[in-house]
Amino acid sequence: MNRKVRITLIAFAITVVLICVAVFVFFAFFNQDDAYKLVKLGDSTDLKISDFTEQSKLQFHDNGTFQIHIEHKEKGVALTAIGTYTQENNIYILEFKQGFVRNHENIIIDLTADNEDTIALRKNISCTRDKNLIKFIDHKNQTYYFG
Amino acid sequence: MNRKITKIVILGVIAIIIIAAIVGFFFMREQGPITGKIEFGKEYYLKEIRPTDRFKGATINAASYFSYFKVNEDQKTGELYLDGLIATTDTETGITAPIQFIVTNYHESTQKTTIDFAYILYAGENGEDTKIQHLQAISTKDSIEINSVESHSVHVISQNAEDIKSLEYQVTLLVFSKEVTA
Repeated sequence: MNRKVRITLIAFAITVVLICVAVFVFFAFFNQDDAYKLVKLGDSTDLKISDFTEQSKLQFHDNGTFQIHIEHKEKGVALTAIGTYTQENNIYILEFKQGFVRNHENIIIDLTADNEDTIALRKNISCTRDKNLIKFIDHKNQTYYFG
Repeated sequence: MNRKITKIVILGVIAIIIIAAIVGFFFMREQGPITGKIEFGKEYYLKEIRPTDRFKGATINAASYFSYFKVNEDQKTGELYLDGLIATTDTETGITAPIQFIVTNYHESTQKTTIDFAYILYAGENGEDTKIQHLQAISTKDSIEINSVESHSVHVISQNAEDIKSLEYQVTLLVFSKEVTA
């Protein structure tokens, strides 16, 4: 009898522990927004990943919003933006609510401004999923991979 | 033998009842009235400025009563408008136009609703210090507090060396009223 009770209690304890572990694993790994770090650069640049700050990342939130920040350690912010997104197959359609970019004259400008030059810059930007990586082409046609 | 089986079954039933009670307790807690809920699209007006470094010396004047916090009806974006505040620690806090933010996380529970949000702060002479700011709004029955995680450098003197460590803590910056104000 004692043995059977002991086995039942052990089985009960194991079940409780397994449930706790499952809940922890779910919240720790599966219930998180996707945050992607800068992992690779396009072929057309001489820059290296180590040239960029650790804050450089792309994040998609479950509620349909995103944030992206690309910052060079010496040159400073290249692009920073927040907004909403929709996903169609492998393509992320980004709508910028706030954003600043460094333009060709090395000046930081408001990405959401409503003038021809800025609209042209916005049109260059694209974001697609390429297997396990997110391919982001910025306003200067430079390619960044986040993963 | 039957007696033993009966005891095991009774133990099992007790265990199941205990688990059900625990699960039920947490489930019922979540099902209670949500007192900290916010209305989407509604402007909540500024009630109080906490004396933090970010708004050091700032006081509420007639203009600052028009300052508001709002989460839009799309539940993804919102506006933070601060007017009439004087900040002494940095220049960019003299905000005169609503800044748009995105909601990065929204969670309702019975006592409070937590809204994580982010916006971009243009800073530096040529925008070189521009960064994404992350704040948290905690909505309770009476108010919405805007909190920030601040860091503070601490000198740690050990036996062999002097080290500087960063201490992080959460502070309330602003409090918005949930009462209807004119």
